Amino acid sequence: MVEKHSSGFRIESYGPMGWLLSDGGSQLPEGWIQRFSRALELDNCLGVQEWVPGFENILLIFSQPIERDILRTRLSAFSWDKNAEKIPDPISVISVSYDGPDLESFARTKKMSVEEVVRRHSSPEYQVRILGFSPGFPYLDGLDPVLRLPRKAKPVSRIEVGSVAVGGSHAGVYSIESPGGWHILGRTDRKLFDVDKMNTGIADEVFLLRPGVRVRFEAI
Amino acid sequence: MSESNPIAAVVSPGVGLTAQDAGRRGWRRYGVPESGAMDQYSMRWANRLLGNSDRLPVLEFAFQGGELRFLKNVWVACCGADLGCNVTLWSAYLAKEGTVLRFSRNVQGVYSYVAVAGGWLCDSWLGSCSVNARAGIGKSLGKGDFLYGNSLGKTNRFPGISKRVLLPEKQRIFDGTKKIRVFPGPQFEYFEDAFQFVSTAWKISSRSDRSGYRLDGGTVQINKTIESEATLPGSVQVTPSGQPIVTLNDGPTVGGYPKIAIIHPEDLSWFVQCGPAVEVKFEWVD
Repeated sequence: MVEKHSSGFRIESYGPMGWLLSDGGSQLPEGWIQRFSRALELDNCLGVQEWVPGFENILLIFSQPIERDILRTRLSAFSWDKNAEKIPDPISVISVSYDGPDLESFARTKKMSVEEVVRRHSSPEYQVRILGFSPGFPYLDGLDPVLRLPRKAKPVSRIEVGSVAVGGSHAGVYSIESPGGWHILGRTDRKLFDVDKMNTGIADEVFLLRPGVRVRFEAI
Repeated sequence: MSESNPIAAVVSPGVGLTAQDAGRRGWRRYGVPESGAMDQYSMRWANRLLGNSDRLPVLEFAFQGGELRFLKNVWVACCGADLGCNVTLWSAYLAKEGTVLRFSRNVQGVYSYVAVAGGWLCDSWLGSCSVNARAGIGKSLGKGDFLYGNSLGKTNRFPGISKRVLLPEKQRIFDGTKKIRVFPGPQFEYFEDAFQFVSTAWKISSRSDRSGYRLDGGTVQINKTIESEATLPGSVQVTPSGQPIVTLNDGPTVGGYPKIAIIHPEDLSWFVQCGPAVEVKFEWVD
């Protein structure tokens, strides 16, 4: 069921039409999932119907069952040099009013002043790891390790759209109103998911962020 | 346009009423689930009984209750769960203006589909009318909402015919024990006793909805954690407490619990119709 492939991928079946690719032994370049995803956007050389990045793997979904051998052949033609050009993205700057319902208790838990929490949260350059949980919701890498905090044991039933949050070792922004267990430090008016633009069919119009995009937070 | 001429009104939505179709494909990597009718088999036949394309929007009534009043003569079909409908399931007929279609009680199954000739005319996003209220795409229908169709809905679709009925062998009933085929999931080998999963007679918990079904009746041991990865409808994750949760149409596109199994796509339309009284047994396929 699992197989290491000479081009560096570990391949596992995921139902009859899915194949899950992960790193087969540290031969894949850093940030390979985002680069792979970007390569498929530019040229769907694998003939997939859809792909879904995860934290440590990427799911390929085909419209028909395809044999492992066929996939192996297609992957062996996949060239990192040719397909994974790094196109620098502009940095998305997200303005935040740092007045979230959890900001003070978070600062107390961390034995810091609120100002220091704000400074540490708004200093780094983050990068979108994946989108998931809800449309346009980003899991951001780059959170200051000092600010890591496990999500709440008991989620809150209603988190406002635009809430800027921390959960585990990631930062994020709630793209729709939903329940959630992350710690809310502030709010932004930026729309991470614009449902009214969905009918343009243009992802850039609908979603502010996508995997690989860099993000900064700016206190207002 | 037809907005000024509704063909029906919602008298009561019941437990849950949304417009659905074949779903919204292509944007999972942005966190957008496919949504769509939970039981695609029943949805397709409701459309076919009316000579509609399989994929036209239908109304999905969930579990119990619901009533529509027709404001025009229109060909209607109802397929799926037996929710105590006042019209015959798995058939199409010409509903007269002023009459009602009413679901009085849950007899068996979970989702029942009401289609009209020409399809309901609904808001759509990215080519699909499927509502995903959880994800902020569209809203559930409520009491007093008007429903619209197109011109095909207003003519007599089948002149001289009073009823169209699906062959009995194609009609489905949703009772007793249901065998559901599963493929091993990506973390299958980390489950110490995967046998628990196929030997338990599971029941669908009341804490279930279009996002996912929780399974009651046992636990499955797992001592591994994973980082979030893609989930698909039919993925069976197991929480740290040992409860299996099946991701379904509106469920999040990524999940952080190990997956023991993936439900066979052809069995999903059966699985989602397992009501609280049905026992579910899983069996492995390669």
